[in-house]
Amino acid sequence: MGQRTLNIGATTGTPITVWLGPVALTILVVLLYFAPHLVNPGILFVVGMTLIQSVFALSWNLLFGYTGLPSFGHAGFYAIGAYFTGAALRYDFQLHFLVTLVIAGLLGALVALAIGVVALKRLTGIFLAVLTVALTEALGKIIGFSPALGEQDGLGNIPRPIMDFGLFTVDLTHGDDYYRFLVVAVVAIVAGLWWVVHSRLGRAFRAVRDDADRARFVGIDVLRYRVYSFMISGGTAALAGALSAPLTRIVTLDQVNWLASTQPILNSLLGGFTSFWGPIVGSVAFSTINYWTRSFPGLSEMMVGGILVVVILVAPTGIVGMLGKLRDRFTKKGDKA
Amino acid sequence: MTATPLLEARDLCVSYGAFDVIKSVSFSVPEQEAMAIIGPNGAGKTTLFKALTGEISCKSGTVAFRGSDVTGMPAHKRTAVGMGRTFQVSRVFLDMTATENLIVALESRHRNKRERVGGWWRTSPADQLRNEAEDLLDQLNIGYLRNEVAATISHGDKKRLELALALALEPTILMLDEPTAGMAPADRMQIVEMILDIRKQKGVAVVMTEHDMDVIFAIADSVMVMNYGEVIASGTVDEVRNSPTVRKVYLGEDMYNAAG
Repeated sequence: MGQRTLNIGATTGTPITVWLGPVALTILVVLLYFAPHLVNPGILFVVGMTLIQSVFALSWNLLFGYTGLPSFGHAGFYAIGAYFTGAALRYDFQLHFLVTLVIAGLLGALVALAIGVVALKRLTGIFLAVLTVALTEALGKIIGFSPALGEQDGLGNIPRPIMDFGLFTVDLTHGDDYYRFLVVAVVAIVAGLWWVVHSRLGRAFRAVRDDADRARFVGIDVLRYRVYSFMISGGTAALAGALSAPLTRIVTLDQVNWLASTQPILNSLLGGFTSFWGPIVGSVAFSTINYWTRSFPGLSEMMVGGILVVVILVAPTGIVGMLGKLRDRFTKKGDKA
Repeated sequence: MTATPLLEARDLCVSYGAFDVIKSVSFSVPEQEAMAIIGPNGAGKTTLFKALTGEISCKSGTVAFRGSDVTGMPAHKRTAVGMGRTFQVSRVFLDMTATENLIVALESRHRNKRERVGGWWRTSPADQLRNEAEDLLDQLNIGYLRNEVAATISHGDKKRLELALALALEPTILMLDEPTAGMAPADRMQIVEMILDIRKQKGVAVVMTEHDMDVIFAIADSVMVMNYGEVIASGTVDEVRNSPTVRKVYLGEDMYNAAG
């Protein structure tokens, strides 16, 4: 074995495992892109929602797993994106769809900035979690009384966008086309988050999570980095919501309550919050269980609940953590042989 | 002394609620000097430390660093202007390797000095930083730990790593809260030698609290003795050692006999 090189945030390994990840990832993305030819529309919708839930869970985990701040009200950010995009398309704000997405993300980030500047100086841990729940419930109530946002019925009949680029147009009105756009958008967002986590910004986040006092005494402005993380997380969650509106074509109050906020938490814990990919793995696992048990009402909740109990008791680092341990055991045996 | 002292506290008072922990403490540390703060447990040494580094705020009084008032300055800015510190119970980034720990500190130093090392898009730290981190580890004799996760290393090595973290920030003053607490005697003297080395090479001033008199005699130029939040004596090591009040409150007659 040669000297191991430093590779912050990623696991080091033999050349085969180094290549395995990117290759598998590329194959997965290609498969996802061509999924409309491979699976029926029902499954395609589930895949699309899983992609969105993956981004949503990643946004939550950037905050919790990488910066150490729990938010139990992340659905609020998701709803901001979803309702804004829903309204922009339904009432035809005359905005390019890409601009709509950017504004949705910025809205989420701005709300996060406001909460962060006011609250993060004093609140972390459970108090922050409770505050985020309260704010999300309040947002739900406000939407519930807003006729333009459909009150209790939600905002329905959201048209899918047509993107005009001057020289050419991209028509996303067909479900398959919007799905392909979704795949591209999700890949771009995941790549962006991957960069954030592995950049020096991400290292500062991890330092803050690991020991905020120590971080202060290496000269890191802890409050500032917590606010940055909150903004990126809130903006990404809003983007996930924004991408969901044209897919589901309806945005409802079900997406703005504490139950919806638990989804990214469960996905992250199930997949493993210590790994970048954990929340995605968790989202896929969760969707798979839901899909397989769809004809047995209540069974999916029981299974997910059961698996979560096992995960928390036996493998607090989730599925990815468990697989990592298995791989270590396997490769150690290989070294001896 | 006509020159501006490096660190100066004037009439510093700190209280926890109604309880006054530090009662009007004044002292100054000249450039490149080493001062030790001693006193029985509960004398307010660590509280004074926290007030000096900005971890807690003072009720009244001022702290000046290099002639400018830093009383209201947050801890991270004090660190950025050159006040490095270690904790009584050593604190490092436990989830990171020793090298990663130092890279975080080095990146923070460059950020605060608005220097850019390597492109902003980079996901792996610049080679320059990695080399600097590894040099620091070697300097503190813990080079072999570079790829070890900090949570798994021993207490003594954590103390060394923490010292390396503080040094990575290129401080002009090192605030060491019991740098050798809980260490084996041999390790203790090794730390002393390291601190002496650092002082010789970089000329940093030191403010330290410590219970081990051998460590203090080896490092400190001056000593300040605290009891119940007040300074009861201060002066050179010899002056303090021979002070009857200090012997009574802290050193005890045995210590005096052994040292004298």
